[in-house]
Amino acid sequence: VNAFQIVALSVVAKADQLTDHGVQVKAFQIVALSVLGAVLVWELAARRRTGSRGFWLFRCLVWAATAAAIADPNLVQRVARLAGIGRGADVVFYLFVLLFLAASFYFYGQKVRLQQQITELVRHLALQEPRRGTDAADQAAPPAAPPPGGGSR
Amino acid sequence: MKPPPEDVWVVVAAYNEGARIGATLEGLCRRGYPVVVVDDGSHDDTAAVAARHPVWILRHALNRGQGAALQTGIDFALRQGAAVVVTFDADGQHDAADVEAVVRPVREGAADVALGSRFLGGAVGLPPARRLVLRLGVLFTWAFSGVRVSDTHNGFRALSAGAARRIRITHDRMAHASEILDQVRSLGLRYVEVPVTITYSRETLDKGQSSWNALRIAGQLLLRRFLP
Repeated sequence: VNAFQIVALSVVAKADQLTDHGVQVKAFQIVALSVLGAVLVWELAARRRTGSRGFWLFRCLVWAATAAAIADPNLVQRVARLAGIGRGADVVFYLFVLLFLAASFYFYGQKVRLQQQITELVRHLALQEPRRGTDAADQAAPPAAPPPGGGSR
Repeated sequence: MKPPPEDVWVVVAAYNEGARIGATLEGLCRRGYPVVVVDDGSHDDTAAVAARHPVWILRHALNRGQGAALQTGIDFALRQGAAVVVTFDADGQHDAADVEAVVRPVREGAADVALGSRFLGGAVGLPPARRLVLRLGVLFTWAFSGVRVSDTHNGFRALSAGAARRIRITHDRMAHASEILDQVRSLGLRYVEVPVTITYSRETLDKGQSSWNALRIAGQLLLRRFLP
C-alpha cells in the first residue's frame, strides 16, 4: 500500500459521508490532494537528478504526511490525542515551530560558512597581488613567498 | 631614535580611510616600520593615498570586515618573515610612538601577545557612553572567555610570529577583537596589557562603531559558540 492508495482511499471514504459542510471540505481536499499528488509524482520522477537521497526521502515523507492529514482530518486529531497535546491544530503548530527553529539554525550555520569561504577567496586573491607604494626603492622587501606549512589553515 | 627592527611588521586594515590614513602611515613610516595596508574594498581613495607611502598594499576585492582584513595582513606579514606583528588602526586613533612599547614585551619574550589598553594609558575625547560600553565589554569578555583585561576592543596589539600563526581570526567583522582574546586563552598564550593612548575625534566617532553594535557583537559571539 503506497501513499497514493492511502490518499485515494481516504478521499473515497470521505465522499460517503458528505454534508453541506462536507462538500466544501471535499473541494479543498480534491484541489490540495491533486497538487500534492503532482508534487509527489514529480519528486519520484526527478529522483535520479537530486543529490541527497536522505533529503529526497524526507521531502517525500513530508508530502505524503501532508496528503494523509488533508485526506483524513481526524488523523492529526488522533495523533494529537496520542501525544497528549489535545488539539490537532496544535500538533501542526508545534511541528512548524520546531521546523522553523531547526531551519533557522541550519541556514545561519550555512551563511556563516559561506561568508568564511568568500573571505578566504578574497584573501587568497589579495595575497596574490601585493602592491608596493612609492618611495619603495630604499627598502625593497622580498616578494610574497609561499606560506610556511603550505597553507593558511 | 634607534632604527626599529625590520622584522616588526605593522598591519593596518583600512576601509574608506582616505582622509585619515595618510597621517597614520606618515607616523609609522617615519619610524621605519615595515607596513602592510589591507584596503578592505574601500570606495574612496584609501589605496591611492596609501600608495604614496613606502608600504605594501593588499586589496580585498570585496569589503570583508576589519577582522578579515587583519588576518589577510597578518598572513602577508608572516610570509615576509615578521617576528612580531602589530595591528594598528588606520583612522589615526593610535599613536605610532606607542608601537615600541607595545612590541617590547613580545620582543623580550615576556609575552606572546601584548594588548594595548586605553584604560591603563589614555583615552582622549572618549565619550562617557562609549566608556560605559567598553567597560561592559570588559565584563562580557571576562564572562565569555575568562580573560580579564582592562580594555577588550582595542585594535592596538602585538603578536609574536608564533602567536600570530596559531591565532586564526574567523569573525570577519568587529567580533574579531573578542575572538582574539578568546583564542589567547584557549591556546594558552601569555599576554600582557600595555598602556596606549587612543585619541578620539569627531570624525572617528562618526565613522566608527555605534555603541549598539556591542549588542550585535555579543550576539554573534554567543551564536557562533554554539554552532559548528
